[in-house]
Amino acid sequence: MTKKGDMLYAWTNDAEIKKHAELGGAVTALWKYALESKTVDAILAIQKGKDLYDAQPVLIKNPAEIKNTAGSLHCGTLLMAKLVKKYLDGANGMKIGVTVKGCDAMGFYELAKRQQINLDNVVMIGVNCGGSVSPVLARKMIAEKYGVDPDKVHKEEIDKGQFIIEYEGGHKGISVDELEEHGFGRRSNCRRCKMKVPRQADLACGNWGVIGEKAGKATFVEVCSEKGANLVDGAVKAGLLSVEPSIPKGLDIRGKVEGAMLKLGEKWRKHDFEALGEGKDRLRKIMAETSRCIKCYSCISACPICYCVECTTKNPAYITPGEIPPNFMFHLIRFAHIADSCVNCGQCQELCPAEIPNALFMHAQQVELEKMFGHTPGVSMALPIMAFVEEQTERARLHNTGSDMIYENVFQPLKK
Amino acid sequence: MDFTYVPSTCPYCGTGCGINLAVKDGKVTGIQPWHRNPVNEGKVCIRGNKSHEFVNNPARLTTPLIKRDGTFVEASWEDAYQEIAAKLKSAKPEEIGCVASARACNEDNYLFRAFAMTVLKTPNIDSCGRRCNADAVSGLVEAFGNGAMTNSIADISEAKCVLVVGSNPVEENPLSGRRVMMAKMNGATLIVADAKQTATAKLADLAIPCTPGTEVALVNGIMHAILKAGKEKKEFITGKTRDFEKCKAVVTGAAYAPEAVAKTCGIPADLVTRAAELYGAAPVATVVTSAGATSGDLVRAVANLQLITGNVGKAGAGVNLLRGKSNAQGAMDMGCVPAGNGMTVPAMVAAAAAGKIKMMYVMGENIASAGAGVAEALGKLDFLVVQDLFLTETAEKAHVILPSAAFAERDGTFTNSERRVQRVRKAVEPVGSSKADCQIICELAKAMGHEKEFSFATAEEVFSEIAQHVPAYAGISYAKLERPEGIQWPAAGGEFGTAVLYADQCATKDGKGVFAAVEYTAGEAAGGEFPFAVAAKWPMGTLSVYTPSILREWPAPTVVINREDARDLGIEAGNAIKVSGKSGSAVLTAEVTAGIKKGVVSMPMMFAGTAVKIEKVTEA
Repeated sequence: MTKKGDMLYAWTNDAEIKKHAELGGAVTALWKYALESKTVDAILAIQKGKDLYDAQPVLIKNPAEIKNTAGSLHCGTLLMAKLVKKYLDGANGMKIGVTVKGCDAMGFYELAKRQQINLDNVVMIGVNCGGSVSPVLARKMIAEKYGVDPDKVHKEEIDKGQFIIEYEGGHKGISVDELEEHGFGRRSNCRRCKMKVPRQADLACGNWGVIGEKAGKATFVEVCSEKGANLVDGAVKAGLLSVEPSIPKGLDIRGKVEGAMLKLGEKWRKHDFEALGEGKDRLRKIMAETSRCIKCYSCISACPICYCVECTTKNPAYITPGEIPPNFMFHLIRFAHIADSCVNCGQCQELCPAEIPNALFMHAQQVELEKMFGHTPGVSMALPIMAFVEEQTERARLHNTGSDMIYENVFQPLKK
Repeated sequence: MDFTYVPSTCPYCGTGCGINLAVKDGKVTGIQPWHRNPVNEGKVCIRGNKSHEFVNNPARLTTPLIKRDGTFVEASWEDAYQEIAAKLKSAKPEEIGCVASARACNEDNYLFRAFAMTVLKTPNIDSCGRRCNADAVSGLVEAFGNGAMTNSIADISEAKCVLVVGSNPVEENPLSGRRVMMAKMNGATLIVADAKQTATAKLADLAIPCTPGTEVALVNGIMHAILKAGKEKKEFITGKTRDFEKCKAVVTGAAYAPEAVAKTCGIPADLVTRAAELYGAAPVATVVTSAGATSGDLVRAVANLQLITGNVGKAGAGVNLLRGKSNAQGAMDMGCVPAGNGMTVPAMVAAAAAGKIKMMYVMGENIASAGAGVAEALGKLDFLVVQDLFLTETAEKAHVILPSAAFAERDGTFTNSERRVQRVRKAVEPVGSSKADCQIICELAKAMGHEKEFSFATAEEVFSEIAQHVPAYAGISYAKLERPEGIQWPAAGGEFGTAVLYADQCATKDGKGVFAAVEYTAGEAAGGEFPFAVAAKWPMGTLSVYTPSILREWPAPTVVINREDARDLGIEAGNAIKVSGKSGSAVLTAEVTAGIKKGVVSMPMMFAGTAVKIEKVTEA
């Protein structure tokens, strides 16, 4: 019997999955089992879209199709949690299995604590993530730094600090450090990330620490919940998966890899936050950069913290409709409402048409707020003050008092 | 529950951003980023972000309508086709006018032109690009050889100096505007000529608030100063251009000396010399311009500027003519321009008013939005067919309305302003009984006895024919367009086509860039009865006015007035304002700001290039 806390090597026995999957194919096999056993109704995972650089989310109900999602795409810069909230009814009507990176897992917790996703209906298999690369930049990087036609590349991976490509006629790796020095490499939020092993998922999987005869042939699985343990046991019983305890040295190596990644994340935080300056200098910098805003609302659409139907940025008392750029209040509202819970997923920056480093600004504030108030976002169901009430419920409650103006109700309670 | 992504191209402006349609249970419920598309890398503006809203708008036309005794009655497709066929057959070819669409696909426009030529046999075909781009496009043809943007949107960010004139890309073509921002972040100097402090002008290192309509004088003034300082690229001029003397003779004239230009444009003289210094010193400099009533001469003037500074045929240079609508470029590529002595849209409207054009077929264009005069002229027609998504002002004047499928409901291609042909993909079934424009044209042609020439079962079949008949599209196929890059015509330039035109030589007869003598001609000067010059801004189009998220930002057309002018006239923000010019009047909402030059008002197209008076509407 598998239990929470177990550290395993796992690999699939399924001939079809073996053909497609990498590193033992445990994740693909677990999902196949989850669908076949009706543990979940559907799997939300990433598949190759138009090519290797085009990561596309897909909702799979037929176990035979799950093999299409095997392997990792480091040019996938998507956030799964918001998709579940926006398009899959917050997992309220169906049980969904989702493959998650650290930022995805954190996004699930933040939306769940705001009652926008029902985690009881979600099974998360976490995958270690050292960071992702925006696809158009990745192609440019491969052409310029590797001297390889990006269309000739059939596989890419990040391993031992290198971004490695396999292409017609060979393979080539360049250290991520070197790439990042030249403005390529991982997204800036990924560089600062310290959620490399998503243990708040039900299982945390990866290849770090798989050594000895299983190297390259098995997946390292850390069992993080009872749900996760049951999934592993079921898959083993169904004959889809084999497991054995990891060897202690492997666990040690896995810890070292993670430790090195965290150290690197810390280095980048120092680098990025110091460059922002302090106090008024920082404020000036933020005001100057955000003055390019064209109010596309992409940062809000994509944010795993934002869910309000009546977003304050649409209140004409604060923000004049149609004015471009909007006044600084637009960004202050976002900071005030979100910064305590920012999970540094990078979406607001990745999708900003005005090239505003939104995620950097938000993340820089989050780390300060965490020091002050001790709230760590994305790891548990603990509520920050802004998440005590659900927006629409609270607006309805306030409205029933005769006004939906929060300030009136809080500071000047209306007479009954 | 079913949930899928369908990659497609944004239906709004000519930037042609890639988007993913998020389809849930047969309905497009949202727009998601398509990071892999090289035009916008997953980023969008508010229009792209909300481009599913109009598709799902309950106001969509869902069935053919025939006007009986002044009211529209639902009809079957067969009855509608019979009605149209009978009427169109009864008119002489020269009495029929056809308007193609800058937001319909290439396949639709190609067949629409074929329908006009082979079924109706009329030379009177045009697209609505006319209102804004046609003169500008012919200016590019004369100067360089091709009627399109010389460079790519992405390479704007490689320029070291950017001159934005007659354009507000940050607000009107936002993801092209992004490349201007990126150029600046890469160290470029940004010069913006605009009477209004637009979002683009606010980014400028050098903002030049010239009076609207005087841009040609400014550009000539910049050339005057560059030549005077000897900063022109002599070798380039000698080797790669012709007719330099014609241009030189004009711009070195006294009318374009800094002080004279300052007077003409209503700006300090040092802005002209400073602009010339910055522009002349940049190793590579680009011009960003776009639609506008005066864009014909202006495009030729900026083409001259690029030729004297050798900024042709390399990344970060060129003349970047941005387009208002998703397929403005494609509609012209498909030949939807008057044939021989055929009429332009304004000529058709005038002829309709005079009773010379008796019938019109309008596809996906709301030509009546250009002013009350157009609707009146359309009202005089014996017969009008309008094919559209919504009951527009133009459709209201129709005798038969045919409901079109929206971009998300059909296959096709758009060609963006940088000549990039990209796929539009069917994600959901058309609403009601609506059909793709190209299918409607084929069926109507059949009803008129031309089944053989219009026997296309799919958009792809139409495109194969386009690739055979439109030289720039030779070698392009749906199979090749599966790559997210699409292909920039001419396709022969490489696997992804040609990013930068004229790297070796221009596409003119002798391969040389052609200078022109472009004199500034004063438009209708402001003064007397009409004291305000008009700076045009782009109007809200058919798609926008049916998109709630866009309407929330811009609920009604406004006239932007300087704060001091408003104070003098007793006007406050939000007042209803009557704007009158020689050609008519309109009532708009006042937007009062310090961010526009005194004596200038900004408003949608109708009075562009003219002078107006403004008055507060007093309640009766």
